[in-house]
Amino acid sequence: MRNRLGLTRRPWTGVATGLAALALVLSSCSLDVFDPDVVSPEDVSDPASLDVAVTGVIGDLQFALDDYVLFSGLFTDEFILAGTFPTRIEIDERRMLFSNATHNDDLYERLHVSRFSADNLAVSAQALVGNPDADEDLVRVAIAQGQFAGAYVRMLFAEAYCQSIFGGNNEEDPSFESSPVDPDARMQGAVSLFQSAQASATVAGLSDLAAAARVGEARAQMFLGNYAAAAAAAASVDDGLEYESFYSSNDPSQYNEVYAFTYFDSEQLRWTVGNGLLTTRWNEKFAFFDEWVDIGLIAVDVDPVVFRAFDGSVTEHVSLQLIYPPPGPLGEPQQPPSPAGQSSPIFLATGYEARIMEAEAAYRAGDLAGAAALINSRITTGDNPHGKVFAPVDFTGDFASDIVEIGRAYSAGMWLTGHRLGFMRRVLRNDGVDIYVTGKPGSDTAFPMSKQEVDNNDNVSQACTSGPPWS
Amino acid sequence: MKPTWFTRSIPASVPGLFAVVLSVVALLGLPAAAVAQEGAVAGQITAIGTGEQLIGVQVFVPGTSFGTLTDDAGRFRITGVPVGDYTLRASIIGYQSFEQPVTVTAGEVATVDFVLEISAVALDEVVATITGERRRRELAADISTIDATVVADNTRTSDVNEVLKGQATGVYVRKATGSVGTGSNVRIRGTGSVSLSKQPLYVIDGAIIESENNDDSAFIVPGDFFIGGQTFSRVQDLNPDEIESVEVIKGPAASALWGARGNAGVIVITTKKGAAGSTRWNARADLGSNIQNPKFQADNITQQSDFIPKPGEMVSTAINMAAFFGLRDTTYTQNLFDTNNPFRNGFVQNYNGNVTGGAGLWNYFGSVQYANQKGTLPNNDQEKFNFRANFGVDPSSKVNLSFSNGYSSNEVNLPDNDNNGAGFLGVGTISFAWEKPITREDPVTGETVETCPLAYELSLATGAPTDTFAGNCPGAENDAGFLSGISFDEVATRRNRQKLERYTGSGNATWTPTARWTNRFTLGYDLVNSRIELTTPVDPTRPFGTGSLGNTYKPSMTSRNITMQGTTTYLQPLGSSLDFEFTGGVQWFRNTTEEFVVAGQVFPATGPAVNNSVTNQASDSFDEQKSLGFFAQGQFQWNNRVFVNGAIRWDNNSAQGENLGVQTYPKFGASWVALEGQGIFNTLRFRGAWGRSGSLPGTNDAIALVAVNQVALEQSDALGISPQRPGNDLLSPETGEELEFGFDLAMLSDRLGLTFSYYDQKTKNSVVTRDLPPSEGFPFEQFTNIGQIDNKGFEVALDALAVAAENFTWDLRVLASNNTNEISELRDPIQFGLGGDVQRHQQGLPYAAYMSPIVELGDDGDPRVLPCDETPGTWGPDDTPGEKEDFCDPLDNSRYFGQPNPVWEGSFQTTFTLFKYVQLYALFDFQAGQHMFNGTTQFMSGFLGGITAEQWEVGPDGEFTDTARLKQFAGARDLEGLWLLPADWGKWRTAQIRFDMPPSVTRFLKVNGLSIQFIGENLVTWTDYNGIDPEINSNGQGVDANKSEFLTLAIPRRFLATINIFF
Repeated sequence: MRNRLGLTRRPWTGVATGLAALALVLSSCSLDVFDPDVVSPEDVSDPASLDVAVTGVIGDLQFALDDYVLFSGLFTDEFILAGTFPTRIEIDERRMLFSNATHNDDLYERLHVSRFSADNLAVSAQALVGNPDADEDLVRVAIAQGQFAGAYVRMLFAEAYCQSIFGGNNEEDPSFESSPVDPDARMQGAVSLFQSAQASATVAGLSDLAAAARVGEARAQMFLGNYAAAAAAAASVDDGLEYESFYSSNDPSQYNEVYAFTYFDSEQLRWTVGNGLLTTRWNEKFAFFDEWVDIGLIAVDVDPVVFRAFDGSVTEHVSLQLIYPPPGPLGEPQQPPSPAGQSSPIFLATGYEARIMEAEAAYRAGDLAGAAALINSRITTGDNPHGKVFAPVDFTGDFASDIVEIGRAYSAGMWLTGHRLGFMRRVLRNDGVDIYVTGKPGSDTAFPMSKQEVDNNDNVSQACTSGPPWS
Repeated sequence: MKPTWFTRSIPASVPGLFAVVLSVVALLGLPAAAVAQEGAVAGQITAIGTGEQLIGVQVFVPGTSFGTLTDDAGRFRITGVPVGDYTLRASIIGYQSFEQPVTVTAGEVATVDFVLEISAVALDEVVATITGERRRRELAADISTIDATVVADNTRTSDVNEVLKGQATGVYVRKATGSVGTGSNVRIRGTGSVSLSKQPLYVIDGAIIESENNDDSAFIVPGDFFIGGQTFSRVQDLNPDEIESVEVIKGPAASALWGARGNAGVIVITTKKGAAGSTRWNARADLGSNIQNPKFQADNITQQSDFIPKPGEMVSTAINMAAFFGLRDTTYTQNLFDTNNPFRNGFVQNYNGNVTGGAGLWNYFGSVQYANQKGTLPNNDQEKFNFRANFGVDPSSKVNLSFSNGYSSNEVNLPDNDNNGAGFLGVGTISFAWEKPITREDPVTGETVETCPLAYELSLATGAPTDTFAGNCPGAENDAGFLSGISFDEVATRRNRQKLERYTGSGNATWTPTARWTNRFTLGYDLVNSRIELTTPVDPTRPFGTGSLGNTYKPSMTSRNITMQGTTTYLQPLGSSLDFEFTGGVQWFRNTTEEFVVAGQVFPATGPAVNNSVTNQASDSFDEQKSLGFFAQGQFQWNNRVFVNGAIRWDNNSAQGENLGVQTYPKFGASWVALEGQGIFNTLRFRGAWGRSGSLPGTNDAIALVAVNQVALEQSDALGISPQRPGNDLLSPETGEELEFGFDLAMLSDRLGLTFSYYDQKTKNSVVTRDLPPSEGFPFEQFTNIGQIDNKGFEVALDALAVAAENFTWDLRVLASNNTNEISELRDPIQFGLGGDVQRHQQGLPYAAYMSPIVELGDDGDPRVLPCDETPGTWGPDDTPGEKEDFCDPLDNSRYFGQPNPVWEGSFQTTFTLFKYVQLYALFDFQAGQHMFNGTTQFMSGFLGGITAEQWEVGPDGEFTDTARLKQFAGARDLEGLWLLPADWGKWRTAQIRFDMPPSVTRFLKVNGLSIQFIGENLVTWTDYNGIDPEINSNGQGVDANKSEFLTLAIPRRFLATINIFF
């Protein structure tokens, strides 16, 4: 059949038929895709995945603590920097720029991931109470673990940051805050959550976790100036408690970062210990360097060829050998691999810390002799996490010098564990005594709120961003 | 009317496989079956006026596979043509196509000579589009066509992207590094997206191919690997000598029918095809050398007036640690480039051979390439092998089949470079004085001691005994650099290698049931198998990094791209002068990418293998994307002068998210040939188009993700989950809309052509990976639709045949493009970049604007950051565009400095032909309006308190100069504005001279053609930028936002000699 233009209708029919057929064939090609490496929150929200969530919270706290120990150690001269990155130098020199991306990207973010992860676990596990599909024991563990990690991170925020805020722009986050919170309020939140964790851990039968929460509460109370309350919380903690954050040699991402950054052959000695000589621009010296060299906690190797630092300028390098002992004798080049170092744990809370806090509380209550006796019973006998014999403390009644001795006692058991910044800052805040190392270009005492937070959080209109000094 | 024996000899239903077999037989050169009733067509094609014999002209019978290319004498011969009446067409870019009738009689040779007229505006040039081949006069939007054969002949480049350089308006091509084996950044009409890929879509003979750079996180891995911006390029796999033409579809006005993949433009590559006729062979050899501009200067901190290197120079800095420690009286220098220059002249060899021909129903094109080129640094080389076999067959008078098959093998070795103190440039340019022992008198003992200078000074400063360091200078024995403490020889032991094999093929079928109805089907397949190895061998002597214990990282990637497409086109006359053409089509595309990674650290011996490592890891990933699109286009055409079209495409895809379903992309356009004829103005065409296309987020970009990690517990490791990224259920594709209009004008007897286009492009719902407040607890950014980016500008192409005498022709080509880029909507600024917050996406500013506080001397003479409410003086951004000049953020007093991408770019080409046998060609190109971050100098100014000479410059009064104090101040505070520099440049890109041997010589040598060429590339750079090279980018060829130099290798010069034989 032809139309008035003399053409058959067939082409139009053919066009339509051909297109329809092709469309039909191609339409049958599904647009569904399979991506086996994507895990969505829905995949792990059921009760059967609770154990994975608990492990995740532990891992997030480990990851955050790793960075916290590094940066707070730089700030307090537990470490010095032998490297060249300006953003790390800023921290070492206590003159952090508000825009310090290294800090934003690493520590601040890791702490928040840990906080969010912990809070999320505690809340979601609480919702599973009574759920017949959920393992009741595991639910209790999850609640306790979530509360402890949440409390611990809150404590670190209070100790290290001039301000902090939770929840970003997400009002559905149960921890959402509409404006930045100062360190006191943050630490109050930590105290409250540590107390909840103690109860939850007890119900779950996790005695060590409950004790660690008591140590945490005591540390938080010390920061708040509630020394008696701190001593009370610490009193029931066993001497032998060692509650740790674990690391692994199975994968570089699981290495203990303190070890990784100071270990001879991993991060090129970018972190090292100040010996007061030639290693850095400010000739920094760790406060207890000489004593710890004498008792063998810090080994010194003077071979500049073997122990040349990252920038080549180190002629007398100090190798870290306190918590991360090398397999060989002191003074010998460390021979990797050293799983003992890569997987060395970091103390989160110890009975030793509880005793020193009790001693400090006693000192502040006027019992100088009792305080000294309690400290010396641990540091002069080798009954401390390092098993070393330290010189005894001898309080003179001069607070400014005695508090340095108390700090020495803390460090004797908790060096490179993220404790010293909180101690130095609370002494400055509560007592007006500055025991930070002086003579550097900067005078920061804490970290600023992250610029990324300020830029992106609708609820931050005024924040501690215009320093330094941060207080 | 075609002879009916076509359909009898090979039925229309012949299986494609049979056709392939026939083609293979043809390729093997087996004689075709003798067929009676055949004749031949032969002739010669010359240019009008000059009589120049035109080489490479396509001569063919439209709608059949009968055709060939003219030889060096402009001659052609098509054999095996069945008797009958035909229309023969001759076509070549730059000339008007011409048709002549011809009658083929049995056993006779019909002679047809063509005299082609130069065409400044070739309205009848055929352009490949998604709806089929169209004449340029029909196109409502500008599509640039590049004669790849000519460009490849002139430049002898091994990079297909380089074929685009300076050849099309609005197309920006920029190499990131001078290392061989790396690709180029190609952008069309500005930057149209913040976070999605800005890479144009590449299509070869109908097959969508993998074209993204292989620059994933593979190169930032545990250990000390880093090759920086020297990423491997997928487009580099291809062989330019296999390509016939490249068409650049520039924006949504033209690319709407490419739907959700068209927003960044489409580059359509057509490979060479065979043509029935006698077998023709071509062999070509290119030999030459890559040469780094070798002006390395020894420098001394006391002689620093010319410290800043000129473009192309690498200068080892005098880093004076003594000065750093305040001991400025004593200075020492060491220049590793002086003592142990690692640079070399990299030998280049490139051999190509191809054959083309056919008989009767089929034709073939075969090509083989072997290329081996070495870079200017020791472990940089590329070895490529390419093979192509293209077949065409006409199983019936109504069916045409073509098969395109390309195989590539591409092995590239890259040196450690860029942002890498352990790379060649890091070791060489940041070397410390103390590495060289010195002999001097000890002021304490009076004895002469050999010591390391810095150690000596420091000992004096601290009271330490000076003899402690006698004769003990680490690294002195091997000229080790400061930053890493390793030597060039040790850098060279590292291996950053890609091994790749690739097949790209397609089958295209055209079925024309009637003269007005055409159907096209395409099946394309692109398979890429690559393996990358990054290895630092065991080196127990090197006290640096995990590399001393051995470290290897080996990702293997397989990418598959499948394209299926069908279109049907029907032309319906609506009257004597009015036609309507309808095209409908469907396109399905699937991409899968699988990656397997194994890595190992710490090896007991010198041969790093993962299975021998003490610590090792493995991981895998799989990603899949699918899309299905339907499209329809209707076009009215009146009197072959006016064309009005409208089209629409519907796209669905695999991206997850409630708003990522079916998308609609319409377009409208019109073309009016207002004038066509003789006179001063020969051709005038107006065109205008509006269209929309899109960019899709990735399949999983909208969904929330958690990470599964190994977590160390007390006894063992266990799996734990961690928040990674929140989802965004509202995520949508970004949508580009473009209005384009312009005109094509030819005048003065078609010797002067002018093409002008103006475009106004808006990318709405721009997808941005936005930082979240860290307090939300997610470490990854979230994909969000926020804002709009506008690109607008104009493009001008001017072609002129200035002289057309018998023994001398001179033609010119000038291209210029302007692009104004602005983020027109964005609620909050996004800050990022360059190790801090020196860049931002901010409403009212261009994409990735450079921002920094200005440092000035205050009234008290001390350096300070200039507050926003004060006017910049000497140190201000003196070239800032007007309206943004005053933009300043009071939060940190950051001011707008400039943008990373050019506002202007263009080229100038000129070709002289002397006595028909000598051709001189030159290409100049330029970019302007962009800024560059000189990261090398900034880094030296920042770390360790500042180590550049500028910072320690002392005036006659013995005090630091103002410059020194400003740089000290800025360096200590990471205020990077002093190193954000205007980076306009112009380059003499190519110079070529070619000698075509006259017929007397070729006859004597018994060849059909012979030419000898000499080519120089990257000969001269004009710029005020004070770094190494304003064209490079340490962040890589895929990065648009950050343009910076940081220990990056300048683009070398290249000199080649070429011999080209036809027989």
